[in-house]
Amino acid sequence: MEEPGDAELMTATARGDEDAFAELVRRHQHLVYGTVVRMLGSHRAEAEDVAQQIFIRVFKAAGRYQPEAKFTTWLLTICRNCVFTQLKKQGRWKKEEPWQDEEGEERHPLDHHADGSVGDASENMLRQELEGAVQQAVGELPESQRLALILRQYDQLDYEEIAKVLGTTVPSVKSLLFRARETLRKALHSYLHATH
Amino acid sequence: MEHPEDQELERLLGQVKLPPAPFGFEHRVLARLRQEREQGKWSRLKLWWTEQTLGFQGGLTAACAALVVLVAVGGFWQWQENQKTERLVSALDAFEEYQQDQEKWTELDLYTWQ
Repeated sequence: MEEPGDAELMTATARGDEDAFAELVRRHQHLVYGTVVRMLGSHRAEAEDVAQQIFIRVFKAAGRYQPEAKFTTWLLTICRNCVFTQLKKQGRWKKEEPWQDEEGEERHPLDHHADGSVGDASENMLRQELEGAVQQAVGELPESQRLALILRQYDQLDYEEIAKVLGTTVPSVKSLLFRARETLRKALHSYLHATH
Repeated sequence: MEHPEDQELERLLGQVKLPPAPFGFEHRVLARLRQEREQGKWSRLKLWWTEQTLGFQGGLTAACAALVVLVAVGGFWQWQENQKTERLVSALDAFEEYQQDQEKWTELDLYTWQ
C-alpha cells in the first residue's frame, strides 16, 4: 500500500489524528533536530526542547497549512521562527556538546565514515578537531547566513525553498550563501590546505 | 566563476553531518502534546470558571450598588417627607396658637367693651 504524503498526513493532523502527526514527526525529526542543533549550537536537552516545540506548533497550526505549499518548507519556516526566538533568548551561539548514538555512547558526527564504520583513534581525533573547527566557524556566522548555509548544505534545499523559509528573495539567498562561504573560507583556511 | 577553494570547502562541510534526533524523540513529542492538550483543557475550564465567577461577581456588585443607590434615594425622600410633615405640624401648631390668641383677645375685647 502506498504511504500517505505529507500533505495528506497534515490534513489528518488538522482533524486531530495523532497517528498521522506521529508519522510526520518520525519522518522529519532528524531534519528539524539537526537544523536546530546546528543553528543553536546548544546543549542536547535545549535543542530537543526547541525541536519538540516546533512539532507542537506544527500540530497546533495544522489547520492553517495549505497543501499547495511544500511541507518541509512550511516546517522549516516554523523551525526558523522558533530558532530565531531562542537565539534572541540565549544571546549567542553555544558550542555543541557531543551527541550520543542509540546505545548511549558518545560520538561525534565525524566518527562515522560514509560506510558506517568507525575510524581509528588518531583519525578520530583529527576528525573531531576538524568538526569542532567547522562547527565553530558555522556557529560564528550571522544568523541568516548560518541558516541559509545549513538549509543548503545539510538539508539540501534549493534556492527558492531557502528564500521561502527565510522570507526573502533568491538573489538575497545567493548573496547570503556567498558571504557565508567567504567567511568560512577565511575561518577554515588552514584546514582547507591541510586536507588537500 | 567558482572560487578554487569552493570545492574543498564543500567537501569539508560535507564531512560534518547533522546530528540525528535522539532516541525516543517522537514519543516525547507526543507525550508533550498530550500534556499540553490536557493542560489546555484545564486552562479553558479555568478560564470559563473565572469568566463565570467574574460575571457573577460583577452582577453582585451591580446589584449591591443599585441597592445602595435605592436606599440612599429612599432615605433622602423619607427625610424630605419628614421635613415637610414637621413644617406642616409646626405651621398647624402656630396657626392653632394664633387662633387661640385671637379667641382670647376677642373675649378680652368684649369684656373691655362691656
